[in-house]
Amino acid sequence: MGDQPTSGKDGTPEEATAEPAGAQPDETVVIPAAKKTGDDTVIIRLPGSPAKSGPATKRKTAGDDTVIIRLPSPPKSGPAKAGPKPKATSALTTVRKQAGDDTVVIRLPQATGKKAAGRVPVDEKLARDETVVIRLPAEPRSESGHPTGLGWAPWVLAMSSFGVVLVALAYAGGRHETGWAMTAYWIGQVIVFSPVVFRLLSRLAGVAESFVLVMGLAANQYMLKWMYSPDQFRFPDELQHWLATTLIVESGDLFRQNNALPPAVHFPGLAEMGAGLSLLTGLPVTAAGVIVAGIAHLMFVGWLFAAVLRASNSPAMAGVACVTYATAMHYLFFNSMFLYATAALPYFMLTVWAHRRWRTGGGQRFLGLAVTGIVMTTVSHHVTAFALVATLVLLSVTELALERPRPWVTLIPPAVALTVVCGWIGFVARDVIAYLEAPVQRLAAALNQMFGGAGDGAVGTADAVPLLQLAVQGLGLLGLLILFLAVARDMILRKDRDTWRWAALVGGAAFFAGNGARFLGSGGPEIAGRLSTFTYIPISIIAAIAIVHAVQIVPAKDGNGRRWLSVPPPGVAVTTGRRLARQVYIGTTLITLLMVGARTGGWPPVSALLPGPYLPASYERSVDAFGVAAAHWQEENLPRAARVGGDITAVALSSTYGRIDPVREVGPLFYAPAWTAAEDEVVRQLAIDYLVVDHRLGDRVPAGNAYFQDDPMAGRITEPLSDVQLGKFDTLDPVSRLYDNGTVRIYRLGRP
Amino acid sequence: MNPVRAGVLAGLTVAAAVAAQFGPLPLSLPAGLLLAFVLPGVALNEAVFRPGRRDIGLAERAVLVPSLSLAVLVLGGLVLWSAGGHLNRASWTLVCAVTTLIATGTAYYRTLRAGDPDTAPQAAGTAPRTFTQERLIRDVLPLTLAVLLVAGAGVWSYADSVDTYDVAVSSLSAQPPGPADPAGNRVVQMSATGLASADGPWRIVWIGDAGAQLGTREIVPGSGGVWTGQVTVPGDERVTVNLFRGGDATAFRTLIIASQ
Repeated sequence: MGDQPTSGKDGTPEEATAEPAGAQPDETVVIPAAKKTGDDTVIIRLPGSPAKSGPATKRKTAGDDTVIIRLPSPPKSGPAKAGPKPKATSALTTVRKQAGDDTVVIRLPQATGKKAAGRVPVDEKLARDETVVIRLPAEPRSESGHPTGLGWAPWVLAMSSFGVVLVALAYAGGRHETGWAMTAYWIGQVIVFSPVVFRLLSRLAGVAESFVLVMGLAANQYMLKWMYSPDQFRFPDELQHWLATTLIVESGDLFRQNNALPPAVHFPGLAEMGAGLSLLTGLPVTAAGVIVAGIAHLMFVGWLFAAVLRASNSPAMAGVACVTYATAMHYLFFNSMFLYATAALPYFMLTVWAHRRWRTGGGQRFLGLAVTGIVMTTVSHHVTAFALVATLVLLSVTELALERPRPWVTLIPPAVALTVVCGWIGFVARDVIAYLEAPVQRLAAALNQMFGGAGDGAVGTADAVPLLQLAVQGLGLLGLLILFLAVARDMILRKDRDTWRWAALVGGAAFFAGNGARFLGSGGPEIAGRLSTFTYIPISIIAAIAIVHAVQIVPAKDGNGRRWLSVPPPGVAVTTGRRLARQVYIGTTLITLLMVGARTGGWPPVSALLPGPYLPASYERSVDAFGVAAAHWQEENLPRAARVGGDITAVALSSTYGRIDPVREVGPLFYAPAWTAAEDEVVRQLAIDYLVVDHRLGDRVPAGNAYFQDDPMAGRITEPLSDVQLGKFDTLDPVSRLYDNGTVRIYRLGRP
Repeated sequence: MNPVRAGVLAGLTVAAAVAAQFGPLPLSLPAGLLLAFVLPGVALNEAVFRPGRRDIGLAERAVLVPSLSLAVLVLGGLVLWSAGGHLNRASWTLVCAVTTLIATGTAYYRTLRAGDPDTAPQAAGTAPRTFTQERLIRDVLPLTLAVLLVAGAGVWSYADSVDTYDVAVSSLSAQPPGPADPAGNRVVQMSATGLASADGPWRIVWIGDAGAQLGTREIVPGSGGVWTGQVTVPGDERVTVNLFRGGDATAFRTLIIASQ
């Protein structure tokens, strides 16, 4: 973030790790500074600094970015003041041998009286020529110094792929209800994830290796999502977007009415991608959708990597930020499903990346790319578009607050974004405001409940989140909070003026504010997960800063006996040896813990982590051949305008495969033990023509606390629907049962 | 972009467009993937960022290509539809191909104008990589293993899911009956699906309000276990239609037709 190389504007990050063109074999950097040692850390402290020109850095590594020599403004107090103040001419000379070795030589202008570094890094100290030789962790030998060297990424990904196989076995075990499936699932998840994290945290990977690692991990994790339901879309929202895409393929028109999800009509980005690919390739819409969602998911991860890499010039930080983001609750499913948010997210990150490139002197072409990203985000997903406006505003405000003279030009991207979003909603997607009212109200109710207000009961607290799940998530969050606070303290005491770091810090604070919703009963994880799709990006960056830069969690006391107010050393930490190993193990454990917490608190819910036999009102687990057959019958036999009600799954299938007009608020008709005038009134008010009744609703209570959308019994269901409740439709004189497949029945309400 | 690169890109674009438009699935699939995810993005990339300059890195290029390609698909579709066009295979093929060709021409023209002898966009100071035995072991072997594992797991998982969920669904259904004829009867169009001949014989029995049997019929499922037929029921009675399987005494499937 602040560690931008002076040549960063013109070169690529890959080239930052390679020898610059025309450089001498032994490139020398002269730094007017002295040195300071830690236990296993080499810290180069700079009591003096040249004229204020922002943090200037020079990276002297070929893949190991922890060796970053940074020249920040000096603190006005602290131990640095007590150090010797060498003249500019008595410089510390750092030599990086470029012959593919792993050695940094620091020539000191004068002999020092104490050890310059921890025992592991210091191989040799030559007092005669005042040189300290620091042996850095070895890089992959054959790829050393090569910008496209893949290092150990192929082997790490091969190991990760064994985890994919294990999860595939677990899914098959779940479908056949075997006892070992859940164990295999968790072992597989860890094997998929943790080796990549371990390798990235070791800070030995260069740009290409880090990029391959994070993209490989994203691909493997997308496979985990796809293999859950590989033969068809089962999640209701995916089915809704399947219909939106199918409508374009069938009609060749945009903005066709989609009863399943009306607001999606005016955000056709994903549907266009799917329809275009389906038409160009000849693939079915489902296959095209799977490919589009996968590519979009990979693009998002790629842009996140690219943005953090540009901001930090550190492949380790970019990689760690990506794997940390992979622990977001909805990363594995909602953010990689065939949903319109999945199409918008990569363009969200593309815009952020382009904004960064533009603000660091990349030129107007990056502003053009940012505008393209803004437009693509806006036509793809409303909430992501709003989040993009907020993000650009945050980036601009922090820049205006910290930079002098104030760069007013930075307001262009948020202004463009606001104009495009307002224009699109004002002229095209007018219905989105009404659509977003309900979730906003639910969020307000949840927040109201969180802060001690009276809950209205709709949020649902009856089904408390399991204690173990809360503990895992809580531990992970606590770890993130500690890292966040450590970075915040570090930045404040350093008087850090890096705009992107401050923006990330503010975004991280927003993450913790929004994440309180996680503990709000059954609906909490979903609310928190949806918020965290965006707020988890900055907190991932903050976590990466803390881990990669080894920000002190518990600082040492300074000369005045102050611990928490002691000014952090402004120099560079070269972490090696046992300290690095400890950081890698602890970091891997923390991020793996976050991943476990995300899997338990995200989607699918714990009760449906594995695919398997039918469960009532359990989304993917509720979609099977019986429900699909009933929906296809509706599509073939009922008019498009027919209004059909049913449980959550029935409505999802009827409105997509069935192509009818769904009625979601039919819970009272099912819960009534007998049909009375009140039920007749509900039918009249909702203009219901047909009801879909799945008799398996009587087998067990719903996993998600509700059989129906807007379920009047949500959170209070203690027993399954009874035979009387489900069978009463057969006794009603004006009601016809027109479809029966032994499990699902379809009733026509009212006389023919 | 040098003439060779421009020519290859243009030729590939035309070939992909033809294959996507007229080719069978084995040809249209790779061609469509190229048009949707690769070719427009590559061309735009070359047009915006001159090769040989260090404007963007390899990782950024790798992500920018599909991003720009999909943007062409989406924004091109929006523009085309706004202009009154119809979004079908031909129009989307044209959008992608024409954009690619224009961008390729732009990139070539820029190179000509700059007088910049285009070179491969390889970072300066880096030697070209060679395929060595060491690289085979370090990179190719494990990556191949990873791809095979993941692909194998995917194929197997797909097959398992299909096998698990592909159960035969037997249903009995009726279309909403029309009005009664002058004789007071209604004709109900009925159908049954998923009837295995081996489980037969199949028969339907319809019963009136008072429990009296109004009629019965043996049904013979056709290909795919499907049967369709008509049943005439009295318009003023609530009729229950039962489907019986083999020698079962209880109804296998049941419909109820409300009185008019």
